[in-house]
Amino acid sequence: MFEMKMRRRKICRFCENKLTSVDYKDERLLRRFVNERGKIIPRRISGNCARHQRKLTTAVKRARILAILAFESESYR
Amino acid sequence: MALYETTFIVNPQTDDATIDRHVQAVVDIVTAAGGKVVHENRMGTRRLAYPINGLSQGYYANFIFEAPSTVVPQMDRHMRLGEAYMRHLTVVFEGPIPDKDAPPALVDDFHYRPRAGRTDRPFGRREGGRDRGRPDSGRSDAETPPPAARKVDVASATPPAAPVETAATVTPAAAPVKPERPVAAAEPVAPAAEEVTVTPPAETEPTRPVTTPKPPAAVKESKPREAEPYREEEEL
Repeated sequence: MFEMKMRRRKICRFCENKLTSVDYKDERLLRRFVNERGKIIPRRISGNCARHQRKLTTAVKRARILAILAFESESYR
Repeated sequence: MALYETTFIVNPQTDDATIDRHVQAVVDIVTAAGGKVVHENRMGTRRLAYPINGLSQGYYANFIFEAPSTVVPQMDRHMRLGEAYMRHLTVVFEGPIPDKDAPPALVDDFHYRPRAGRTDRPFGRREGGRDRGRPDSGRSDAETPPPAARKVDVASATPPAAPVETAATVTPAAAPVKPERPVAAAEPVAPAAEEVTVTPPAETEPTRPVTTPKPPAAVKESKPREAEPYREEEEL
């Protein structure tokens, strides 16, 4: 039913690797946390901790400004 | 004196000398105010995620510098008024200063990202209700490796922001796999290497290095997986 029930507790990838900052220039990294339409993936799905989700969000938004990521992109369904 | 980081995009349609001149103008503002460039990263011409001023590519340059705070509004004014600067962003720098030898932070992945199945989507295949941390793999959870195995893979796939690992491991791993990929592990500042080469989308299925066993899929999907081939991807 609701995926939350069955989900194993995910570890925040940033915490796991002890990364303190998220580089807004790193497209590959950021793209993993953004869906097909370019929207930022919610924390409950990505498994990030609150702190890193916030950093990730600012990084994504900066990347969007710099045209490293798109603000929105079409998803072909 | 604080650490700042500025990234800006210069119109790539001019010749190299002009581009250099524009980039150097920004550096000169820093040095003129008594600042010092700590790290320089010319990312070269790269495709933009959306057109700016009708252009679809831009020459990216990034600097980390230490300077008094008065420099920032000066730089901002310079880039705002200059017609050659398409975008600019200056922030207070956080995070470890990358090694000089580390590969460039920004890699033009756009044309080289393997896209299994549909090749017309710009982003990975992730859908609602699934574990977005992984592309659809078609594998069941039973095949997921224990977290211990995942750790290994993660360590080798950390983003270049962490000075220790990734920089050296990810790119070299990718380099032999994709010969057409211009970025080499040992070339931090090589504008030529960053040149955008248009790779036909059909040519995707890669042999991306199978770094790791897929991390535990935390979500059991309620709907059936699509029959899309698994896209190997280095895990974070």
